[in-house]
Amino acid sequence: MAYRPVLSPEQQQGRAKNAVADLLFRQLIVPKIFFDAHWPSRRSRVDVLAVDRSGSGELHAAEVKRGRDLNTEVADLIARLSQIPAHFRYLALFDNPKNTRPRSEMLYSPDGIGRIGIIEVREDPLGNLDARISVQPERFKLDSSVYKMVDRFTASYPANREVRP
Amino acid sequence: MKLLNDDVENYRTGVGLLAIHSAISLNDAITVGLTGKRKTYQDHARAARELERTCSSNRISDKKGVDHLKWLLAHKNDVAYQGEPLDDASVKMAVDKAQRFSAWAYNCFEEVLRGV
Repeated sequence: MAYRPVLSPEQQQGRAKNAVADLLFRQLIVPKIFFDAHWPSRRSRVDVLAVDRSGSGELHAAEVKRGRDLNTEVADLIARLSQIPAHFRYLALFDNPKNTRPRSEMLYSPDGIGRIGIIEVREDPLGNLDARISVQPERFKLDSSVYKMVDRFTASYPANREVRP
Repeated sequence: MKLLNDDVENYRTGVGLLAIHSAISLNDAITVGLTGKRKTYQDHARAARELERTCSSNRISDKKGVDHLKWLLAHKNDVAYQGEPLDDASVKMAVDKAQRFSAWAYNCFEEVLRGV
């Protein structure tokens, strides 16, 4: 059995966020990715925010959560994700030995346009993380004014990960 | 391109072609977005020269993307018609150039390409 270092909860959370960022980076077209993004305002914070097409495209927001802690906070988490203005929203679960998930009806937008996706982050015996989408997100309806907000955001904060022209 | 790039061993020519054609298509989208007309060229190098002129007329001083497009166009015949498969370095370079060209295009022609 491989030696496993003991990491702090913050380190584990950081690794999971990085795995989610990897997944979005592969899936999207030259996205700009922000960790702990103050989106949509300075007071709010999103674990991983990706803006497709180098900042000119759709928004993808992910909140990362340990699966074993999910039951106690699931309603709050879903409510928080529902408030984030993003075309695609994800709940990323890691360290989830019982494969706990929120009830599927909780993932849908009240008007039916939009569903929160689920990302599973798993660690193999060698300690490699792998993030996969287990519930495909459905696009939320947003006003086009969101793009002006995005432009202000990308002008104010440097991306943590992007393709440099 | 990205999906096939996970299996370069089997799809190296496909990855190279997709890299080049994605850049050509995005360049076409810029032209159509700005002029409403799609231009066709026998000589692909003309497309890059045209993009350079478009940058100048739109006061875009950052022309790094033109260089990426030029590189991709210069390798189009090699990728499409050469008998020997591309080596790993060439495939990696083509993907890198295509992604950098996309990032440049979406930055410099954001309004034109929004929604593309």
